[in-house]
Amino acid sequence: MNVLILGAGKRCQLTRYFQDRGGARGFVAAGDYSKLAPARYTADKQFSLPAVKDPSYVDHLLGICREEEITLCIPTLDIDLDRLADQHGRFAEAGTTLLMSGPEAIRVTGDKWAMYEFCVDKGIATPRSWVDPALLADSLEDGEVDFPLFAKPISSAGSTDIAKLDNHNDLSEYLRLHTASIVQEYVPGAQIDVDVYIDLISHELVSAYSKHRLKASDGNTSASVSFKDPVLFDFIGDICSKIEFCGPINIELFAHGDGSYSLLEINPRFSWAYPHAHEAGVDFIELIATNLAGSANERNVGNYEEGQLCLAYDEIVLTRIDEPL
Amino acid sequence: MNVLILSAGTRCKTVQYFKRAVGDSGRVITTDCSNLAPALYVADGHHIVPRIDDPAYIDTILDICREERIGLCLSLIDPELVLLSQNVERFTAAGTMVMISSAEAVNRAFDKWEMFRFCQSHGIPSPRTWIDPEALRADLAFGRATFPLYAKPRTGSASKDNYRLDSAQDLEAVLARHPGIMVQEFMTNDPLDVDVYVDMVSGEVVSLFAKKKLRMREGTADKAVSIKDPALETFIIDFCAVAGFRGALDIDVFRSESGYSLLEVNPRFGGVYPHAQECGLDFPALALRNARGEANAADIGNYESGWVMMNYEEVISVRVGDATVARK
Repeated sequence: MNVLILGAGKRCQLTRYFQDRGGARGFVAAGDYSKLAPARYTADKQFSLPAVKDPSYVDHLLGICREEEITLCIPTLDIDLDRLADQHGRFAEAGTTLLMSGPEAIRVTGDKWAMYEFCVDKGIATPRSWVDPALLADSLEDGEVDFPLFAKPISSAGSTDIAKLDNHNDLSEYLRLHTASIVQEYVPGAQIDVDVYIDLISHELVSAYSKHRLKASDGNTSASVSFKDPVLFDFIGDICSKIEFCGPINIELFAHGDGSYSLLEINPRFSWAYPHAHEAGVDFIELIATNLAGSANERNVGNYEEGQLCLAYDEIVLTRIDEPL
Repeated sequence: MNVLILSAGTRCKTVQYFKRAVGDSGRVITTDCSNLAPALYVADGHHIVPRIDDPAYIDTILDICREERIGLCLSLIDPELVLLSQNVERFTAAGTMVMISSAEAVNRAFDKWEMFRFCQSHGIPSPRTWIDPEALRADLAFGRATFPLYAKPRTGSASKDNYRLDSAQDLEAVLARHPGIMVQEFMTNDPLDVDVYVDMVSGEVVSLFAKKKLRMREGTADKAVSIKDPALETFIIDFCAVAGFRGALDIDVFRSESGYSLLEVNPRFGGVYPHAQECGLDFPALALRNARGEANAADIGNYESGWVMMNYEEVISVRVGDATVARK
């Protein structure tokens, strides 16, 4: 297979997994807007892409897919997901599988309030949330909820601008600085996440890797330990039966003291921490290759060791760039 | 020779470079207080040790030095350097050479106000700095200082609590929140970072590597490009001739129209030392030769400019005997 990874940035390890898999039978190309994206220099080929919001962006990608006979195109950034959500058909015409979910899944997961309403509607456990400051004020007044609270911008990625609010002062200050925010009740619990693979052919959940986040740097997991829990796998299965996903997704949750879970958010793409799963022996690249060869994968959830510790460290790429920086 | 790298944290690359330099002549052992430090697991052996503020810390490290017959010991984190500099004799008695500067030089490196005064008294250009708010307010009132300015703690690292100040209002707000904070003129030109090796036997600068920082992340360069300039080499060599540092250093410098000025010194391996090593320098080999009692010959400027370094994350997986220890 010939693979094109979009927004390749620092995803050198993901790029290498595809290179290891492809061997002599194909190449892995890294595309990015920035020429300082390290994965462009570790991939077999590299492309300088227009900005995602550039009107010519999609045509540009389709041009590369045709010319380079790309069989698999992988968006890795949220902005790409928004832009490409309804473009599966055009990529298919170019002979390329676009590895991402459809427009409805992207819309719901991309907006924290839509996600909350969806959870409430479908009966999926999630922390209670407010977008309307007046309703929040009422709930506080009535004692339905109390500080501390968590606030975050309604459509931001990662942990940018997430704040813990301890009192009314914190709350009004946060609302003054951030207009479109969502405020959530604080639920005691450990942060966990699950990398999930939804088969492209059977549309079933076929693989999952769950881990405790032990350490984070810049909002990304830098140390994790794997665990397994049938209750969690059932909960994840229930969520995935209610939204139609495709390919690799990442689900963030709280694990509560009583053994239950609640849903925080879903990133419908390869997570930044996917290498934790891969290094622990859960190989989504294999599953993708099987799907592209026309076969569905068997369900194989929880096929890994518990207590696998995965740790991140800094690597570097060195290259000469003969243009002004 | 056996090498002990203390508080190795996530610095897997530097550990690997030491392993390469040591070769078959010995083992590289790492320590950290957390079992989540990946550099523990890429070494030939490792010890999980108490935190550096534990009273038993130095004794624990000395025991390791004796047991593992360590010839060279170094630390990769700032807070530990003062402690090591005060205990050099005990390491020597254990047969271990410590890669560390004198206690006086280490203390000065961590007190940015002392460093500024040192530079002033030795005629080394450095950004104008104020510690006394009254003196700063007077200079602002008389036009001898102008905004923007830059505030940072007198002792601190990783750009924590650093603020750009654009107005008197910003200044007063920061002073109110952080009494004793230091204020510097705001440097707008190229931020550079120089990896320097001062020979521990001869006291001379024998190797250096300069890079321009292109992007920053958590106080260290995320992307940088190698540069070469004889004037910068002279600036660094002249500074090191009086500053009293030894071993691997990381020096922050600004380049302006009027020349170079010295911002700060971290008297240890820099966070992005791998850029230098991948461009052909080899500080671990220099340190090992020093630990055998031999001086190194100076070899300055033996690398190419224009090599771009870009940082990214690699993940390794390890089996830990009792993973519940790590599970919080």
